[in-house]
Amino acid sequence: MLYNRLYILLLAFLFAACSKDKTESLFGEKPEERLEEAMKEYKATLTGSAYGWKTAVYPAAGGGYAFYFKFGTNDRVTMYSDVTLDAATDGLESTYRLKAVQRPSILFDTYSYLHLLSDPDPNVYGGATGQGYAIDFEYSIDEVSADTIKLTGIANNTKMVLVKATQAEADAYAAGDFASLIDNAESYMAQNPWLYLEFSDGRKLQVSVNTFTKNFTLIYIDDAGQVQLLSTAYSYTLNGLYLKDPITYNGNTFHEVFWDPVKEVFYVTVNGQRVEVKVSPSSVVPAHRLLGVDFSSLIVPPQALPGWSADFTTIYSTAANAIRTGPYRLTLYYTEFAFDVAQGIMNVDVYVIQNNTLYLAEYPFTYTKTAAGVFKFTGQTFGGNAGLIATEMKPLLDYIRNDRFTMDFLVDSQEGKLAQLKSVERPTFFFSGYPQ
Amino acid sequence: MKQMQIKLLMVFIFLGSLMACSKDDKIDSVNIPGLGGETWQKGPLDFWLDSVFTKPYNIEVKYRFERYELTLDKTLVPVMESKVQPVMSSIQKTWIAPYIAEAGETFFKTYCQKQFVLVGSPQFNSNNTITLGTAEGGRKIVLFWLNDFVLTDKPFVKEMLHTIHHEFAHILHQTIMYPVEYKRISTGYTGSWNDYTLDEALERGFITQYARSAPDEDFVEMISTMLVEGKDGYEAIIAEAPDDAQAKFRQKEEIVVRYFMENYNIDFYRLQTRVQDAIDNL
Repeated sequence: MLYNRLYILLLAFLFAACSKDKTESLFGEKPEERLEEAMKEYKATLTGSAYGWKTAVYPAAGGGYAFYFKFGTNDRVTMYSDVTLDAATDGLESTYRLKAVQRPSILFDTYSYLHLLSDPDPNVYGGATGQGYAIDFEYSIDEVSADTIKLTGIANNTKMVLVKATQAEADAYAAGDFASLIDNAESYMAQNPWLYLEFSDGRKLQVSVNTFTKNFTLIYIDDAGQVQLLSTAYSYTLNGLYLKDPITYNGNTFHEVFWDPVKEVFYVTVNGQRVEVKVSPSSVVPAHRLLGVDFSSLIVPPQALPGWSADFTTIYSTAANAIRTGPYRLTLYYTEFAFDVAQGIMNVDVYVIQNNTLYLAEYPFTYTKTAAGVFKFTGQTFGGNAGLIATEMKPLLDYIRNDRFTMDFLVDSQEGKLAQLKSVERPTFFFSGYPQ
Repeated sequence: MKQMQIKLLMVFIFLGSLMACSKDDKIDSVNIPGLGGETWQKGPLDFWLDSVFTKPYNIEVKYRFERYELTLDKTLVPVMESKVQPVMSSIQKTWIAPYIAEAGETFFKTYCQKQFVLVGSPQFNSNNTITLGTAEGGRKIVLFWLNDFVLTDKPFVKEMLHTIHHEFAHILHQTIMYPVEYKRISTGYTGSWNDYTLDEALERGFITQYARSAPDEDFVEMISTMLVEGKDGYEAIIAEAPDDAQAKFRQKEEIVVRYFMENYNIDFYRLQTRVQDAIDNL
């Protein structure tokens, strides 16, 4: 009986063994076949855009950088970028490949302009040591539509949207129009640092463009007398500045700041209307209102800057000489007038070098400021290094202790925008520094 | 008996059907993307690398970035295409050619690393140092910071070649160990080698600061320094050391030269001259 059951089992195996494993895919094809097809399709789409693709990436730490890519079927890509003026002028060829990693991905696998933003070596293009700007150069493909490809960076989740470029755009990049626009626009901004927009309510909105950090800001004083900022990152396009996020002021929204190469002005388009960015002879929002907003200290180097009076130059250089020939043999590195607006504190930080080591002598002050922007500084107790050179620094510090000061901006063709402090009581004493 | 026959028949049918029901699909009709490794359209650079490295010595040069060949928690960038040929050409002239001239092709093909991975940036470490090169299991060598490679910057070039010779020497001593008395010549091996100056290292008979990290490193640093700096350069370095340290260097030098001759039949001083000439003529 037992054996009979065994043989029935064996017979059952016989039938079972002969049934073919017919698992059919819900998608009709095997995964590797679908993957292969998808890869071919993506390659065709990328290389099929005869005039290339344009995009911009926005590092988490701020700023925006534009790129133009032309992908070849030979796994080589030509690019232009606004990362440097040279990158906007000269197309650079490097390589790429499409690979099926977790998802079909585009890998920019030899060095190009894009990699400047990923380079961990800060000597190459700045950025954090060991990190760069945390921008990716390996992207997985999320979505492909008629003229757009959406990608996400693999290591840092950088978002990239490739938009098909037109023939006119491709020709413009090749002709150097991109570099010309950047050059002209930045020269204009350097020569005309005080720009503003004015909409229907008549309020002047100061336009502040930081071409180093690639940031665009509108600064104005609201009805309550508070300083307001509307800020976003930007990158350059063939038409001007493209803002990462649209800016809205009082119902007026714009996403781009166009450059008019003929009239040589900037303008925005709101509800189909062209609103030009106008030039102001001085800062629209007063310098003292921007303290703590746009900058919070003045860096005064040992060598003379434009905007130093003869009196200041003499006193400052005498102090520098005195500490150098004095018992400590100190070389003046720079002096920082560091404001903490919230606390009403201003520290005169004198940085000196002795035997290749940097030291700080700090003279704290509290201060008050009138609505019209007149500063009054009150010296506080100091010690340590500050005490050791107090005598040498006294002539300079006495002015700070005793006089009232106004603050202004001053623009120099070489040094750019400087902030200037002027004594009210003794108008022959004034000096400038780099606003930071 | 009949029952037995039926049972036997059943067993046979069962076994037979198992073999009859074989699946048709053959493995090579399945096309898995990426199965053969990285693919791209080859260009002049690829053909050059194939002809100089891959065909003669079976060395693969990975210049296109492959994320999984490198440490995953470091930010690294690819090498510039334009640097690949100068870098690899220098390596061929100052490492491959001298060893083959002195020791023969078979020796070189047996021991060389089969994979070079090229990286554009340095690798930044958390202890404020950067890594210039790593080697794994005698098989793979990763070279960093190649985007700053310029033939006329001799110190930079020598640093890179130092790494190659250093890693190759590791393969040699991991195959045939050097005499154990080498480890007793100097004292003061330490893991925090980068806290000490070069002078402090030389005083103890260590040719470089890194040599101080372990006896194996000491051995390969002696070899790579002697080769890359050449006889004159090496003599100049040890001349900086105090007399008792100089004696240690001479002892180490003697062991190295003997090691190469006894185990690989290589005249080390001739090898040194060849490497030096190659570097000078880059």
